Amino acid sequence: MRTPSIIYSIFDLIRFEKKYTAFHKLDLRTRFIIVMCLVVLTIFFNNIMLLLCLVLTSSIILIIAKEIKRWLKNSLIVWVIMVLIFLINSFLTSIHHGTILALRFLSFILSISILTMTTNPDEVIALLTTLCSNKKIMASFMLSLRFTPIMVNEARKIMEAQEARGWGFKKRGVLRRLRPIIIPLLVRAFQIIHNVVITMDVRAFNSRTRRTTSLDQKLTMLDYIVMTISVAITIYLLLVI
Amino acid sequence: MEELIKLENVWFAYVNSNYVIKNVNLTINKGEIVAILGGNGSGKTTLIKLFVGLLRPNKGHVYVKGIDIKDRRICEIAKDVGIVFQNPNHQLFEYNIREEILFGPRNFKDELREDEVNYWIERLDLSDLLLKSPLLLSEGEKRRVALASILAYQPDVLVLDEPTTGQDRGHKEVILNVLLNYVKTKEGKAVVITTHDLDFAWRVASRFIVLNDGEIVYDGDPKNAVEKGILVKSGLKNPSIVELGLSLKKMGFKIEDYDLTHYIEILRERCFKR
Repeated sequence: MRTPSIIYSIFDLIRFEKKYTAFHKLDLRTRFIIVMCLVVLTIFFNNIMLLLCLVLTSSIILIIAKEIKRWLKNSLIVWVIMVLIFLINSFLTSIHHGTILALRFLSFILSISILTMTTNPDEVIALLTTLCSNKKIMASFMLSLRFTPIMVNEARKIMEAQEARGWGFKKRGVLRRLRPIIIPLLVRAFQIIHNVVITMDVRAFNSRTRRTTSLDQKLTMLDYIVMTISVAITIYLLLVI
Repeated sequence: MEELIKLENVWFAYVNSNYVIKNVNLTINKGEIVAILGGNGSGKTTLIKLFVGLLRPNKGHVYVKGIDIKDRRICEIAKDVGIVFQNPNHQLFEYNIREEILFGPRNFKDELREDEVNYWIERLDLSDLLLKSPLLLSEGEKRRVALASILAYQPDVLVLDEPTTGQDRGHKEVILNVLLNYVKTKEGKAVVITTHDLDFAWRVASRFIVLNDGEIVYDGDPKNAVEKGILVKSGLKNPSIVELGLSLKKMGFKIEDYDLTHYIEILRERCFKR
């Protein structure tokens, strides 16, 4: 697998795509709690069967969210790292320990993918706007979240432009290979930030002390039920096992 | 004519969207300058990205010099098809312009011919800027550097996305002459441009391909395209020189060629008759 393909697949593994499934309809806070429950259990579980159950649960959530195909398509790098973790730890300690660490890694990546693949940055911004009163901190959060996909897209375009000039045709060291990508990416980041700051200023960003949001931030009955069940199951499992 | 690029029943759609290129069949032959025209979102940039393998067709085949690009790497195809993108900021990274221009040739050739590189630097009016940082140039200058960096390794097909954006009148002429010269003096080369600048396309291209909603609605002689009103039907405007010719035709003048010298001759004849 070539370097650009690996980078593209990592982008696709964390990228949000708009979909209308039951899981996407849940509030961001509910989805966050579900994922946090999965992460906490991943950290505390030390049993192969239980970790397999967690992997299965995360996979089922991805199936419900209709994201499993995209995940599997771009997950080669995850499997490679998982095998490496297994081999290194099996060699250093035992096969049992190696299996647990490899499964823990897989479960962790699956849980985080659930959140990144189903969370629209706009939702996070709206939620933070409601919760946080400091406008400048909010603006920093908002920009970093909103510009992450833009910078990913810029990186993709830069790689395309350099490949079209023969980047990757000759084998070279890592630093010499990455220089044509990193420098234009940094320059583009500064250009974009500079433009955004000017645009915000001329559109009177500093004129009001508190900002409002147009997105609805109400939790439904389904959200409360899902949240309660997730937290209850997590606490029960942590106490029992 | 020998084919350099051939598209056979090509269909393409981005993820989670409808087809943006629909059943396109075309060939780019040696010695041609082809202008791909169309409104915003008609699929021009997508089509040229298919030429160089940056996008792979969902259906159909793309051949570069007779070889299907399906299993070829982009950097291998780029040796034959050089593409100059719309935004030069995505590729400039070296500490001076000379190094930036040499980046492409160094990737493909073990030995560089300095005279060839210098030739394009001079032709594109970049000689005075050679030791400047490419990041400190104006947009128009950056575009010319991007063009020079591709011309320096002389690909068989030169593809340009909106080459005249940000260029003043004088530098548009420079680019026009460089493109005409590339096809005339170098044997077996072809140029493909996508543009909204119909005046530029009219002066440089020997063939028009008009795209509308991802489909080719016209592929052929530019003169025929304007006379049949293809450009207007596709939401584009005729080149100014053609508009003038069509107006003169309506006034009863016998216009055979849409060229300023021809118009002057006809007007002079009419004046002397009187």
